[in-house]
Amino acid sequence: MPTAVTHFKTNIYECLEALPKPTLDQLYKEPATCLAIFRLLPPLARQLVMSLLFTQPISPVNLTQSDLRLWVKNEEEALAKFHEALDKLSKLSIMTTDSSGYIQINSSFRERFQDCLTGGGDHQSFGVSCERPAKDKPDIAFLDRHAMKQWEEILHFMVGTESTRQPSAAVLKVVTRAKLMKEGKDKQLMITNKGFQFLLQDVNTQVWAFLIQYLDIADELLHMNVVEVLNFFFMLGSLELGMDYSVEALTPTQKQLLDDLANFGLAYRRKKGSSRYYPTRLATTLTSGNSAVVSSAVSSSTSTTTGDDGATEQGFIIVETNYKLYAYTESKLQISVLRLFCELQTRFANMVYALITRDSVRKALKHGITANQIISYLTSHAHPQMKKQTPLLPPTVVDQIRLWEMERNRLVATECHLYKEFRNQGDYEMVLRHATNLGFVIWSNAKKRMFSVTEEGHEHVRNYIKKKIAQRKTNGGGEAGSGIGTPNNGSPSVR
Amino acid sequence: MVKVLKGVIIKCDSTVKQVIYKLNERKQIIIEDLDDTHLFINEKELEEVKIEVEKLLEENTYKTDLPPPSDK
Repeated sequence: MPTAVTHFKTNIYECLEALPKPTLDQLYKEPATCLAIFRLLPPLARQLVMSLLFTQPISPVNLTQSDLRLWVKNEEEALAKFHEALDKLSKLSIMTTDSSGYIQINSSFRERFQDCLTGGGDHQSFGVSCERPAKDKPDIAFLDRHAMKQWEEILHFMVGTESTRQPSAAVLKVVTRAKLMKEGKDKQLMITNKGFQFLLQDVNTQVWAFLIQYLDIADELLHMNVVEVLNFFFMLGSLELGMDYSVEALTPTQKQLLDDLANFGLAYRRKKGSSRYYPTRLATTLTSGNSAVVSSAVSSSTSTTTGDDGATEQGFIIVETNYKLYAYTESKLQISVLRLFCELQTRFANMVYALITRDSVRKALKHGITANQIISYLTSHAHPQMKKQTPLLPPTVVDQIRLWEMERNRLVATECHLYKEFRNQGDYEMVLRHATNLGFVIWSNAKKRMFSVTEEGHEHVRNYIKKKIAQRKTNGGGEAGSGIGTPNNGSPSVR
Repeated sequence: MVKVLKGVIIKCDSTVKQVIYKLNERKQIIIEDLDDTHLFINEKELEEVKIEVEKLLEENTYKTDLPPPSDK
């Protein structure tokens, strides 16, 4: 579920919203992009755009925001949705309010989107299909297989299945950049907490998360134009599955992109330098906004081809109170995921028998996978048989996994500076109050007249004390010298 | 005079605190005993403390004798 992810951007919205306005204007020059972005909008925003799209060039209608408000029901829920829609539209600078309060639709968006809906204009935004029919055209089942094979290869690499090939340089860059994996002690890439979270997502979310990361890299490392890259993503989303498209019409950047995307399994080319390419299901469903359909479509198509049993989608794991785990799956990928936190015991034709042990869970925890992630994985992949009982997972197992996690954190260390030996309580309290207000204090004890501040707070507190001393000196107060001394900064001198 | 010391504050339960005291017998680690759950220690010793504590707690954990995994 996309909602569960907060660690990394999976949402193309956020990515688009972050773009500066000129870039957005550039983007709206492609009809396919306009259509794709339109599809990504919430229903009410789509409704608003559609209502206003054809009004303006014919007869300039001036509507204010309050006029639009009359279109929605005067209910709290409806109004909330309305404001959300307006907010989204203005963030994407599709709809703006001008100085006199009238609603304006971005002119290039309006023109291109009209073109796109009416089929006007001459553009190659939706891909140019090949004129000559291909000799042996791959069928849809083949494309699905190709897509799944390439994509799962990336996932396999992430979970560290043995015998997987080293993926392409682009994939490596994306996974390390996105911190889905990081280098362990022996220079081996290991899966991280984020990477595990990534595996829990459905395919569509994964693909988008991956592409957004790729976008970041494309900008910085490969010096590709963000607009061209995004346009290409959105164009892929509007292509038709099973059709062939010509490479000729692409820009050089997009040709380079195509190589990488073919690697990820979003497109298929018979060989490098082939003049045509085929989008796969991963690509064509990018902007459909209906991720559930994608994953089930992909899994059902693979179920017939690779023998992946249909139960995989609904859940296949049974956990017993004795920490035994039975997973009814044949998928290597799922087994590899299980291996991250279970000890595999026996593998049968259609199921795997594993144990959840202290060591196996600790191993996962060391990689940064949290107890909650393990539990939510077990919950979301629970076998239908398990779902009949409440609570779904045996409480003993859940509690124990949490306990094992807590056990690792028995010792929390924070680097700090310890202030001590204040002359009197007043000075102590004054400095402590100052440091507390700035939020630097880690620990304090009035009786011992000691407190400790964080590393970054040390500078501030030291300067504060120096300032106070200087103040007292200028005030010429008799008690000045005896009050606060110069803090002895630096090396720990223990007496 | 105010004194400032640089080091590491460790927040732990009293069991771990005792373990660190044990280590302190061998080598000067603890700079200041703050309270029941806090210790102020020399930052150079932090890694060693972590490892030692882990080791000691590990020795005191009950493990079931599972049959060795049949396939690996």
